[in-house]
Amino acid sequence: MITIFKNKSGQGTLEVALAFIIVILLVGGLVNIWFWFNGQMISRQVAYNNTRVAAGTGSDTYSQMVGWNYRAGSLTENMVIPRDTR
Amino acid sequence: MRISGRSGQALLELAVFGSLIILIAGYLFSYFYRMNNQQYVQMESFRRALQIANYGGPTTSSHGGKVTQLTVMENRHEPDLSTYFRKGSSQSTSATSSVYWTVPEVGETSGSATYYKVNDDLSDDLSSGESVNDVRTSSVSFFNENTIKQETPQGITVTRSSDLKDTITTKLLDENGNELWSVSQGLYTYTGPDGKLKYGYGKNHLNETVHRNRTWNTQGF
Repeated sequence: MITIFKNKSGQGTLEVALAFIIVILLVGGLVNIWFWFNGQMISRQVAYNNTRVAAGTGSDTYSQMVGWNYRAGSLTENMVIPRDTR
Repeated sequence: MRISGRSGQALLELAVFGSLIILIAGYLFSYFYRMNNQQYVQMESFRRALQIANYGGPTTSSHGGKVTQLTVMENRHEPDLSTYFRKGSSQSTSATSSVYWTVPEVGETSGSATYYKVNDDLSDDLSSGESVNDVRTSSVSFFNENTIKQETPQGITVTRSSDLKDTITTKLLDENGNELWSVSQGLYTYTGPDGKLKYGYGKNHLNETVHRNRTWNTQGF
């Protein structure tokens, strides 16, 4: 464990500061995953709406059903905990 | 909670309450999964209902349009952390769509159609006769898992294999308990349009066994 003062005053503050960073990273990662999921729902809905005429009037059996051209995007490490902001 | 010397108190508390954060993450992921399935089934039910309504039936040969009600029931096979991981379990998701899209011939009335699509299979037209009052589903699973470990001076080879046979029977009953339509479907795997392995249920795959196998080696020193 990290101890910076001999009389240990401020040790709790130091640990809370460390723990706080870890908690913020965890919660921030969860929030980013949540944003990613919402984005998936919306982008799939857009793909679905864009194929509505073709799907309703198409003569082939269900091939254009839910917008088969849509592919879910991957959740990357950089999306969960952004490092590269360029 | 207190440890001797009080050093590391805050980090210890983080370790304890960190499990709560993991719990929340787990709940969030299962919520994602359910919402994702629900959205997909709702989309599929409306699209299929739209096409049936447009063509007056599940095939494109009949024309004229019908007032259509379609219920889609999907069993999604997923890993189950509480039992054997590879055995998994199926979660049921359903959605119903009604589409009024019909232009009948002059002097004729609009037709109607009621279908149930259970996984891969579409029911008969249930618009005539009694209406569906109850849906009963039962499932039977056979699962077998083997682990073979071979230790030699050159290294350790571990082979794990599993066989899974899962059958789901769905019955549509009227209010008197009479069977209107039923289907038994077996679990199978296929490669989806995204190139990934997917699970499905279909009556043409009854009694199929899903076999999975994996071998890995550890080099000796």
